[in-house]
Amino acid sequence: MLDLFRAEWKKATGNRLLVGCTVWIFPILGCGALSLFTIILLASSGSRQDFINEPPRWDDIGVGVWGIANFPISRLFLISFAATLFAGEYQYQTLKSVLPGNRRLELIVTKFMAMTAFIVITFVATIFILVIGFGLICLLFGADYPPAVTGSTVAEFLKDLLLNASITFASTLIFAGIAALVSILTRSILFGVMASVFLTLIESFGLILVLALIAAITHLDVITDLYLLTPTYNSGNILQWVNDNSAAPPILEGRATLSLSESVIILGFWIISMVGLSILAFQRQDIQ
Amino acid sequence: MATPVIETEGLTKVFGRLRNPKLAVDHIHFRVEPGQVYGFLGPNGAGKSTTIRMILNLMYASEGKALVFGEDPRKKPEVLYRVGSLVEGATFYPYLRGWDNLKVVGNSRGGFDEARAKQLLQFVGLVGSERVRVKAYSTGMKQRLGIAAALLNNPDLVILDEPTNGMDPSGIREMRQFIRDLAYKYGKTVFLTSHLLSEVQQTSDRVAIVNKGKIVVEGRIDELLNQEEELEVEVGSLEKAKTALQERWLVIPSTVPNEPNRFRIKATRNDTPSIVRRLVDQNVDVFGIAPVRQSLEDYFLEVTGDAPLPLDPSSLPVGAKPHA
Repeated sequence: MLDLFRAEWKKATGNRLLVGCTVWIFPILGCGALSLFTIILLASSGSRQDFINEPPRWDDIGVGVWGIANFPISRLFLISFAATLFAGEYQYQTLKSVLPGNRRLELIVTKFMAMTAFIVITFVATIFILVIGFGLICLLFGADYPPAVTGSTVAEFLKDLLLNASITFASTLIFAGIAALVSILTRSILFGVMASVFLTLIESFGLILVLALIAAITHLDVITDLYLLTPTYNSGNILQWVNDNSAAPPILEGRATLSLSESVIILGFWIISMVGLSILAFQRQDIQ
Repeated sequence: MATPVIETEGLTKVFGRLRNPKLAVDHIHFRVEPGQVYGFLGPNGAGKSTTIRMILNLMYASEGKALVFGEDPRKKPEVLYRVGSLVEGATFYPYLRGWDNLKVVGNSRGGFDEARAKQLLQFVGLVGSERVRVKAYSTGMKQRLGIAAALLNNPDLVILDEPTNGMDPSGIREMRQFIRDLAYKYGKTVFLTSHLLSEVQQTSDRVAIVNKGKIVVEGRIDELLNQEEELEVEVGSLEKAKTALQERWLVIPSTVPNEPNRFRIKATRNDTPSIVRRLVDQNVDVFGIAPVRQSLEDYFLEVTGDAPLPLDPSSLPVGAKPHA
């Protein structure tokens, strides 16, 4: 399994154009944001004063990075990465070299693991860049960098970080599962990426409009509430519960919301379904 | 009796079960014994690659099974670590260097042995090119890297599907020697498909000819081709020669326009002295006489051609077994 993981890691890291455009873009953008912020502070004394008066909190920055990964636009990059990893094997016809001798389940699980590890490492690197970068900016301009680093603040930070990372990880896994499934079925990088991105956009932005339209036509308001079953709503809802101890506000005013445990169950169902379906499709497929 | 390296039992593959089912491989049985070079031949679309893919667990059989070293790869895929394969051309991750591709293949097949990889690069003549990305490789270079990848885990069975594709004549000659070395020097079993039938004839011990998903004929090459012999004779006058010989032998005039005095005669090599003696007695000038043996190519075309296949056992050549 370790050797298989090494192989998957090499495949992922070797495709520099892909990882540069879809994954490394996050730490690169982090560096860009820090540079831009420094230039603004250097150029504008008003902004500098505001910054000193209200300095950023390092724990908020660290935890907030996971929110970036959960943002629908960011998700599109990660989905493209996942789709290319899975569909690449078909497009380059390399499964015939790497599959014989291995159990298909092991192979696809290793692929999910390598992809997840890659994304986690990238976001941890982004956290380090932003937390340390803002610390240096605070030092440069003589601002505080709260909260004070004590055992309890670090423990609280790590707890929040892990919770947020887990939710982001769960939601990423669902969309990676969708990307894997589509890639396994279409066997093409282009179609895999396009179809996965399309499905994600529909799920994130288009579905609520479609449901609202159907509800308006049929006069059945309950149809709108089907939105509560989507991964996007539930991952956002769980994050809201974890960070603010309240449900995420409904998309349409006056509609229902879900409790933390309901959202956890629905998200769990999506993970098992999407990852499970992609594994099942791969297990049953003839490799051409 | 040693366990066969490959043994298929009623191996069948049907594509598109629901709509327009197509029988790609139809209940085939064959055995490959250890140390053999086994040629698996057939026209395009005959079912060769599908059979190989089922052996390698890339495709699932609709019926029957393929055992490798006595094990079913579906139940025990690890048995395929003992198999090196090059199926329908070498394919790699184009963005990775040759060396990294070998690493990926090695790690996917139980572990990467750097020393062996270096040895193999030397063997296939790619030293110096291993640091170049595969997308810059020529077809021949990819094919050589594919051979190296197939041999990385020091397999006992090597499956080579069209290994000379994209190779130049000297590469083809090297490949022929390489296949022989694999079997006779290193004791590997080789399962080979190739369109270059002369190569198969020169390298294989045994062949199966597949057509439309069925094995039409299977046997040792020397047995398949050891049929009624013909001799080719060139004389001064065809008419006089015919008169002298047709009483005892069947004379078949040459169909080649520029060779009016050349003909074939159904006779064995041992008949050569009597034929020459008879011609000389009848004042026929003899310019040459040589045995003509059927090539594997002729035989292949005969059994896979449009003419009805020789299903009657008595119509098959000596040593050939008809397959149902």
